[in-house]
Amino acid sequence: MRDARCVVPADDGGTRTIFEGINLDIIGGHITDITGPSGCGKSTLLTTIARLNPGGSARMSLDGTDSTTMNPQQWRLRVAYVNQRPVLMGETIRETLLFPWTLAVRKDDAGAARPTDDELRQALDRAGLADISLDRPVHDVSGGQYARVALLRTLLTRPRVLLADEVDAALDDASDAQIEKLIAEAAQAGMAVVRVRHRASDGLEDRLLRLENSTLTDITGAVSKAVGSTGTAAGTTAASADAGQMPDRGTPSSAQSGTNAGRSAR
Amino acid sequence: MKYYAIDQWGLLVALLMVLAAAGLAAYMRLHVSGSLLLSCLRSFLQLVAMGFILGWVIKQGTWYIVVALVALMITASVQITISRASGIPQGLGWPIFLTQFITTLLMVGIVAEGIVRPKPWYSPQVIIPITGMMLGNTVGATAVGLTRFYESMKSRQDEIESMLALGATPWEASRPSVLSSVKLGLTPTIATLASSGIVMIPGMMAGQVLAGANPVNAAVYQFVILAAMSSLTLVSTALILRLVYRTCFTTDDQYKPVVPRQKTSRGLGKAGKAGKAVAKKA
Repeated sequence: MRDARCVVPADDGGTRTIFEGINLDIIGGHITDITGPSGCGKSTLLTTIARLNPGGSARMSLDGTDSTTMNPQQWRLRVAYVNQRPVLMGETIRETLLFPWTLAVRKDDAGAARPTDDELRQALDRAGLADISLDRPVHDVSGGQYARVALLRTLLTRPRVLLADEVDAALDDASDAQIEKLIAEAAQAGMAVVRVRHRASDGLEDRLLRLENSTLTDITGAVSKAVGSTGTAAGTTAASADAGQMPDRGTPSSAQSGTNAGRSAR
Repeated sequence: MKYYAIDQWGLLVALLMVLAAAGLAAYMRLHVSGSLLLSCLRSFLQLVAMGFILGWVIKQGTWYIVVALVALMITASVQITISRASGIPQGLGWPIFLTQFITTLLMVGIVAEGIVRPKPWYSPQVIIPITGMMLGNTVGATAVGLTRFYESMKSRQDEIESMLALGATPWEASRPSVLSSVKLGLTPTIATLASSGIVMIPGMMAGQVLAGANPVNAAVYQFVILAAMSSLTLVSTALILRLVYRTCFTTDDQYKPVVPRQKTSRGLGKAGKAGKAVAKKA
């Protein structure tokens, strides 16, 4: 992503620039966390990447394909945003999980096979939702379960990039742990994950970026030392945060370059 | 066939009834006495004016005067729809006009020319009342449908954004709001259909019976009009929402909350009430 910019109408009738000149490379299989003070535009950055923000604009490409060659639906199919207040559509858990397959964009996409009941069941079990039947009414689940079902709905569509916007906000620790597990599994399967989080680091991230004053800074080393987790490779990955110059891709570590370079989502 | 005209004493009694109702409302502190009297006076003037105009148009008996009057009614109905709907954005005039124009065309084409078949084809005594009844109904349905649609889209913002993020098109994301709005817009029409003949005699049938027509003929007439009106009300509400749902999205299929247009003047409110009067008259 190059030159991401977001300009929104301000309360005084003029416009306010939330950020501009932000560059970011996202790599398949990696988890990137974005932190920053409240109101710095973390969510805005994610919705801009998903092409969901009316004020946002950016030059983006995915696996070498320019975003402008895809219509918004095709792009969002691959770059999936999960918002802070997800809404489960339909009457039952089954309906809500299958909702993505009722949409036109997946009807003419051969690669998007609709999951069977068995697959849905297995997915729920893996998410620690074994006690929830597919026929359970949507409004009859707890907050933590609701968030997990919403995340699961997006994960089942197998996007290339998952943009998770505080999906763990206001959850109990058990639900949070389940969400972490789901996201880690998705990343292992090759999905690029970008998270906006408020909680302390859970050690899953390959990179930790800080967004402040329109600048994205890689602070991976600083925090991962303290946590004592993964490390050196992440520090060298290509997160660029400079407003002015075009960053080079950086050098992915040898371990990543083989498996991930090809699915690098930029 | 006997026609019982109403003389000035009848008019006076009707006025006294309104005065009595206004007095009662004042006694109950309902704060509607003023507007009741005002709208009553206005409706009287409008109805009488419409009576004179209709009389003149029927006497002239030329097709272009009929067409001009229908065009005027459609234009007025756009204005009334906009003023009655709340929370709608600017710039809906043309979509509403198009909707009213198409439904009027269908109504006149099918009911007047296809079923009633007056001679000559532009016979004002058929065309004008049918157009009036049609517009009276669609104005209400469109205004209610539009109001509900924008309300619903606003309250479903999180849901719409979730849907768009999953790859929904704007139309797919709007569909639940469109359905509930069409349903709400159609509710009064369905209620009219269901209750007509039992607790009430619809205005048109009542009018024909009062004018001395055969009650069974009047009933059949009324049914044809009701059937056509309910189907066209559905058409008009669905059509207008299809034309305007895009106003909630950007060209890049992003959700964009609409900026409601400002209610500008009392004049618009008056036009709204005037529209009701026209509808009732028809």
